[in-house]
Amino acid sequence: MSLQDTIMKLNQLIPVLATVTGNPAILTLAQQLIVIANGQLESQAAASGKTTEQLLAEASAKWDQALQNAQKLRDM
Amino acid sequence: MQNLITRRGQTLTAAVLITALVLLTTACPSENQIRKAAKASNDLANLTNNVTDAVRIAFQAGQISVDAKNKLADALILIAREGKIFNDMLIANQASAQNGTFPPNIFVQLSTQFDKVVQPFLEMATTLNLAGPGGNQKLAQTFAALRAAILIISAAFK
Repeated sequence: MSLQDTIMKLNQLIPVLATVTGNPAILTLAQQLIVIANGQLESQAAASGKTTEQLLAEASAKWDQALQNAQKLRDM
Repeated sequence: MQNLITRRGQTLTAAVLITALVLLTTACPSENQIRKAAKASNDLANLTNNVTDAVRIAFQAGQISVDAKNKLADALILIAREGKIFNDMLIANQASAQNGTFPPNIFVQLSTQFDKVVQPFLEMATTLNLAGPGGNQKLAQTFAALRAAILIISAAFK
């Protein structure tokens, strides 16, 4: 099953879950999951045209950026 | 209170159900280990940056305390350091992978390092009890969604 299929199934499942649990907060949570799943999809699509070496080089730069950002957050 | 616990329990159950569904359907077994690992590293680095932004925004909006912000920042610093080590290990061991598959001993080392990146993510929400009484519900939900994303990425790599 592709990620697109998964997202479609999630969309179908959300109202059912909200009804079964009686908790509308599940809608927000499920929507966020779909956003992330879509993000994964975009990420996979973007990654598909790149070599493994390119992915690793990109990841290396992103980790450096993540460390800098986290340290700035700590110093706020 | 009982009602609150029941509702939270129901929400958690539903979240687990959704997570399980996503996990079962998104793993891509056809890709080789090194490419999966490279994608996982990329995705985790992106998430680390996204979560850092979300925490900064929540702090600036007065939704979390200085103490909570500092605890999260410390965890994110740890994640970024361990993530960088994981990525460096992938680069260093790339040549040892045959047909895209790491030797078992190398895979154990990579897997152990990967857990050092993932585990603090999974513990963040629990440690800070963000969903507890008086906690920030929206941030708690963001972390619940983040938890699901981490599990998806983990399943794709392992």
